[in-house]
Amino acid sequence: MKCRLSPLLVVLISCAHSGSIPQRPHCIGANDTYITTNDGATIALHRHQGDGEPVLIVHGISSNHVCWDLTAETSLATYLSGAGFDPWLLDLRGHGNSGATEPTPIDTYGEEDVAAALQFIIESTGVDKVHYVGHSMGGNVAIAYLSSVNAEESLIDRMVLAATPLDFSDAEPLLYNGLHAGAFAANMFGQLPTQIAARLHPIIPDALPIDIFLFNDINEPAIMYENVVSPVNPIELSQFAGATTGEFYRWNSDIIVTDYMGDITTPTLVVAGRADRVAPVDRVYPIYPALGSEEKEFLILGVSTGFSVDYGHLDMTTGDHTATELYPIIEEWLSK
Amino acid sequence: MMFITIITTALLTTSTTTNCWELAELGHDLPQRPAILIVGSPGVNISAYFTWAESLEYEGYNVVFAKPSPTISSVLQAQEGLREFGDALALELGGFIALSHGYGGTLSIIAEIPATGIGLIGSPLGPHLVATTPSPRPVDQGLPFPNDQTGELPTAPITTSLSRELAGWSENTPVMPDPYAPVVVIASDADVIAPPESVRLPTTDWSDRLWLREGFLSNNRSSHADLLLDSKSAVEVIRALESL
Repeated sequence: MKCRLSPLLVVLISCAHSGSIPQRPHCIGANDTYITTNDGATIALHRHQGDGEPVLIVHGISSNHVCWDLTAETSLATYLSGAGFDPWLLDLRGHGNSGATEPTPIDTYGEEDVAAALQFIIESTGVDKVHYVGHSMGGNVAIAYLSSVNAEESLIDRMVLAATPLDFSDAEPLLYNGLHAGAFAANMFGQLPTQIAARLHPIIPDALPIDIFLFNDINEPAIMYENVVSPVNPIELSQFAGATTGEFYRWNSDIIVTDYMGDITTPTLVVAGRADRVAPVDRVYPIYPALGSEEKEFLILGVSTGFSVDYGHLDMTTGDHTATELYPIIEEWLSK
Repeated sequence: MMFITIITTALLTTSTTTNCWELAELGHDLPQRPAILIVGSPGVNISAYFTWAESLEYEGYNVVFAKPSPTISSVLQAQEGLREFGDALALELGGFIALSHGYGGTLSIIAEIPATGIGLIGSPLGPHLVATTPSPRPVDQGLPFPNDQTGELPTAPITTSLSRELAGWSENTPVMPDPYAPVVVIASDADVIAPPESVRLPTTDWSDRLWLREGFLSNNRSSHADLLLDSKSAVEVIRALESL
C-alpha cells in the first residue's frame, strides 16, 4: 500500500517539478512536438532540425532530454545538427516535457515510447531507419525496444549505448542498499523526488559523496542540477534493484534480457567511463559480448585510453570534455 | 615495537627441476601464529611488500614470502614451481592463507596453490587495458578483447620471454580454475593493470568468493601500485577472509 505524500512534500515536489522545461537560448529555433504512444501516453520530442539523417537521443534514469542539450557548448543535439544530422531528443513518459504518468517499466519505455518516437520521426522525415544514442537507462530502453522486434523490423540504424549498466551482480553494499532502499522509498511515495535533492544540492554537505557518485569532470554542476533531474519512478528503480540478483529481468517476468540480446544485430558502439560509479566499466562491458551485432565496438573513456580524464556517469552527456572528445566519436560512429 | 624486516632464505625451496620460488621471512619469525604466504609478483622487489607484512603481523599473522626467481622464463615454469612450493609449504606449516598482488595472484590461481584461503589484490585474471594509447579510440574490436588495447606490462625487471608471455594474456587469457579455497578479490577502478573488468568478471562463477571494489565512493581511488604500497586493502582482504 502506498503512503500518501505529506502536504509539505507535495509542495516541494510541485515547486521542484514545474512541468515543461523553459526554452534555453541555444534552443531557439528548435521545436517541441508531442505525440501519443499506442498505449495512450504523451511523450515529447525536442528537435534541433538538420538536413541529414535523423538521430533519436534518449536520456537516462532521473534525467530528461536536457542532459544531451544543456548549453550551446555542451549539447550533442547542436553538435550533431552542425555535423549534418537531424537530432530528436526524447523525454520518456514521466520525464522532462512529457506528461506525468503511472510508474512505468523500462520495457514499456522501449516498446511504447521509443517505438512511437521512431515511427513518428520516420513518418516526418521519410527515412527508413533512425540512428539512436542512449545514456544510461536510455541504453537499456533501446535494448528493450530491440528485444521486442525482429531484427529486420527494427527501426534503429546505428546506435551508441553510453554508460548503460547491465550487470549488477556483486553489487557493492552501498549500491545494493541504495537501489533497494531507493526502490522501497519510491514505492512508498509513488516516486523518488530526486529533483528536490538536486535543488537542495548547494546545501548538501560534502560528506555525502553525491557528486563523486555522479560525475568526475563537471566543474560547475549547478546548471546541470537545475535542468536535468526528473523524479524516479518505483518500477524502473525496482528493475535495477532486481538486477542485483545477477540477471536483468523484464518487469514482472522471468525473462532475462541478455537471453534475447544475441538477436540484436544493430551496429553498436558501447561506451563506458573509467570513473563511472553508477555504471562502472565491468557493469557495462557485458552488453558487448551479449549483442549479436557483427559490427560493434567497446570504448572506455579514461586517461589510460587516451582521454583527458577518467569519465564519470554524467560526464558523457554534460562533462567538461565530452563535446570535444565523445561527441566527435559518436558522430564518426553514426556516419559509418 | 619497531618493525624489523628480516629477509632470510629459508631451508624450504622448490625442487631443483624448477627451482624458481624461494621462501623468505618478512618481519619477525612467529611460528605459533597462523601463516600468511605472500606470493610475490615477477619483477616486483620484496621490499615493496614490507608495508603489507608489517600490517599483517600487527593483525596477528606470521608472514612469509614466496619470492620468484629472476630466472623464471615461462609461465608454465612459474606455475609448476609455485604449485610444488605450495605443497611443500603446506606440509611444513600445516596450512596458510595465500595473499598476493598483481600477477602473483594470477599465478597463485593457475598454480592452484593449496591454501586455506586466497586473497587477490589487483590481480588480472582476464583481458585488461594498459595505458599506451595516445589518442581517443576504441579499445575493443573483437571478442573478447583485441590486440590493440594491450600494451607492455610492467615486467621489465624479469626475463623478456616471461614478460612477453604475460602480455600475451591480454589477448588470450588462460582459463582460471575455480579455487578449492575461499577467495576474496579486490580491484580498483583506477588500476589500469588490473581494472575490475579483468578481475571481477572472470571470477563471477567461482563457488566461494567475495568481491570488493576498492574506493567505491572515494576521490582517492588506488592505482595498481597504491594497492601494494598501502596496506589497507591487504588488511581488508584478510579480515574479509576471516569472516567467510
